[in-house]
Amino acid sequence: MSWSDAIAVVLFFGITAYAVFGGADFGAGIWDLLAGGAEKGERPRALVDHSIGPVWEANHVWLIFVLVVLWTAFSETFASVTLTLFVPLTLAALGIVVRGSSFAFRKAVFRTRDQRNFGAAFAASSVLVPFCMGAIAGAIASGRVPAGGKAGDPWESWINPTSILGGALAVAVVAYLAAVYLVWDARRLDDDRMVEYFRRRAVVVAIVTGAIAFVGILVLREDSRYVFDGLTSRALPLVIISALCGLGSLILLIRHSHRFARVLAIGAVAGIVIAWGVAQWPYLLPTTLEVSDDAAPEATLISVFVVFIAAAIIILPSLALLYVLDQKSLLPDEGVDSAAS
Amino acid sequence: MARSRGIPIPGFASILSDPSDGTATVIQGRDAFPEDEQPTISETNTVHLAWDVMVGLGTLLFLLSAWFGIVWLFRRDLPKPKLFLRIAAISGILSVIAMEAGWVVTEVGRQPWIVFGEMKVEDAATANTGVWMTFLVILGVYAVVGVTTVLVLRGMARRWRENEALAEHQVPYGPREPVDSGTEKEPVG
Repeated sequence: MSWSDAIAVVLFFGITAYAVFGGADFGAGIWDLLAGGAEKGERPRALVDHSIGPVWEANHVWLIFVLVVLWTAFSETFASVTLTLFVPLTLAALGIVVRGSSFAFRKAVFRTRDQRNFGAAFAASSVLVPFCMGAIAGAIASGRVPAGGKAGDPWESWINPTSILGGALAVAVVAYLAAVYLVWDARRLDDDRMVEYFRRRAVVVAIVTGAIAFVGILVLREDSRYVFDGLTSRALPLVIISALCGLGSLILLIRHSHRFARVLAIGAVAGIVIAWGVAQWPYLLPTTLEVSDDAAPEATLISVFVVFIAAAIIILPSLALLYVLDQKSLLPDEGVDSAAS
Repeated sequence: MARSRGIPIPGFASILSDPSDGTATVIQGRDAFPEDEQPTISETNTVHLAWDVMVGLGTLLFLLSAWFGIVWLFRRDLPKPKLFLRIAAISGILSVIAMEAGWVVTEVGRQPWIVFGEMKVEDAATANTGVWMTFLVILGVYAVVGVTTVLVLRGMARRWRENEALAEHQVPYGPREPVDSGTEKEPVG
């Protein structure tokens, strides 16, 4: 394995982590959006607030991580992607800003009207951002980002069958992940009504996600031939594992076995993301730019790798501690009435 | 070159620029660089002004701390003059201004380069159209977020003043519950 391959693996590790952790954050916002009117939605919203409150900033370090690795190690790809896809990237960035600030503001205002406005901004951007991220992935996978640090078509590059599939799939996947996590969080708080509430929604959105993935196969065959061929050959085992995990979590949810449903849900999502990476191997931009052709000089790659290992040693234990404390409800509450009360 | 008025300290700028070889360092002016690598006059003036602001405020804040330190050392108390309290009250804002001025020094001071000696700003900038629109949208979003932040904070402060019993410690970063006098203060965090 060359250094450039190793850094490409590191890059995909970051993308997977962002999908699994950051994705659930966006998904929680989607359930906030779909919770209904102020009274009907109060309880699910309180649970969403309660469960993402302590960790929601931490989850977005992965996006920074991915961007930094990309521009340091694969700068031509970075230039091509940012030049071509500046519209969805800008929308996603603004969505992240609006989402974060309105999430914070909502807790600091008391009038229902104010809470509703901030809540709407938070929830709407929770849909917008994963859609843009999925559309960006679709643009790259379908070969619409030209190599050479050049700008491709600013609109057609991300408004096309594969991008729309990517966006829809991303929104469905994060909603599914969040619902499964929220089932578990509600159970920790002994809130049986919310367990049932999110369990039903998890089952429905799992089926929807499966359906989108199935349609996706047909879309990719028409629109993204290289990635389609990859998914049906070298990435096929990952696709099968992901599908089995998804199916397994669905069955466990139906049978009320929530703990392992969560593990399998993570497996299903991680499986899709890694399968995408393997399917477009050895290309960063299929089929014009290979990983090895865009790699920075070896000294840079080695530095990135060393920094990654150091960061893993320093940051992963603290992140793990944060998640464990959060799961055991040992973190000081951010001051929102507990969903259990 | 015209000599500026002031108290001359021979070789001092030379030592500041590179202490390793004493007064031997010759400080180069703008005209020592090829014309296409020179900053414009207004850029140069911006850097000069920002530098003065940064160093001036830094010195002021240093003197403020020294004032406090000396008084504390001898009297174990805050300096009493109103002047001290007034400056201390605005020192937070002053330090932010000093920091921003420092950014202006580094960013404008590097012109016309984005990576010094390697790449010019004009070569690094996107060739996409619509940059102005993106800029305006971002400016608008941050203006809204900024104004909202101030309004929300003022609202929190007002509610707290009007009704101290309000359980506002439930708000993130809101005031904590009053601590009984005489008891040890809990660390706020």
